[in-house]
Amino acid sequence: MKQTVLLVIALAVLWITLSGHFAPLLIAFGIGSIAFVTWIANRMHVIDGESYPFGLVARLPGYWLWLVKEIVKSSIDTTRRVFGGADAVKPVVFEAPASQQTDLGLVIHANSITLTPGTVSLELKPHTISVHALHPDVARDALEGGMDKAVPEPRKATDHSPGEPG
Amino acid sequence: MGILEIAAYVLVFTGAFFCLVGAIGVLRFPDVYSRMHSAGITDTIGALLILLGLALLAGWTLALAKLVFILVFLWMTSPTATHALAKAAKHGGVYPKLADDLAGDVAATTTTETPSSKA
Repeated sequence: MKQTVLLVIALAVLWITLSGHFAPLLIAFGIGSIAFVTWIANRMHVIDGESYPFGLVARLPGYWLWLVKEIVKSSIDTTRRVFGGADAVKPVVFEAPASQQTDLGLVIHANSITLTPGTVSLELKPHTISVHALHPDVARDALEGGMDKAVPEPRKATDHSPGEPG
Repeated sequence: MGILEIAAYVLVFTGAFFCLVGAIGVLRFPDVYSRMHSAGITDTIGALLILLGLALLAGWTLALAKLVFILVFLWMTSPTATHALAKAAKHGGVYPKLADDLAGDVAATTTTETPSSKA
């Protein structure tokens, strides 16, 4: 029930931001579509802490700031490699440790790896992520960057172990 | 032209530069996987700088919130698509060219074909 209320609030904020109209007819359409989406989500049983991780919201802005810093750093590094000579690109595949206990934490970690230019996550395995990096130096920086510690994670663990295909 | 507009245009043009760099990298890099890194420059810092520049021009309006939504949705979906692409390539039998194979490729183009370059 708490998740449903939070979903309605989130949808209402999204609707008002995207529409910006306050005419009664349009407000009624907005309420109607929010009710419809909430009804579908309830029917599909997708309202749970994993699909709507409201518990993470407070920790996300800090993580995003950290991630933007990493993205800017690695973008500049990758840009140098685009214009570099033959030594600039020596792709490697390495295993990055992933200590996340929940699927959502793992997904945030793997997507953050992919989001930083120079590293792409290839495959999730239990407790590690297989990562393709542009150069051994990029791989070393990624391993020393502390991303595994920085990833925010919902507290409650899901019932099946992470890394299993769903 | 105010200082805010100048800053906005600097950001937009820097973003456009990074988009161009991403495109050049896609052409220059050796295989599917390393090209994804280069395309990532366009997706991440290119989009970020252009949207920041547009946000400065928009000021404190609803348009600013919409620009923020664009960035958040883009940064959530594009790594998912990239991961799907990488996984599809891997399971489709395209293996990354690693540093040793690339050395073999250079040797192959200068001397004769080596078996590793056909992989």
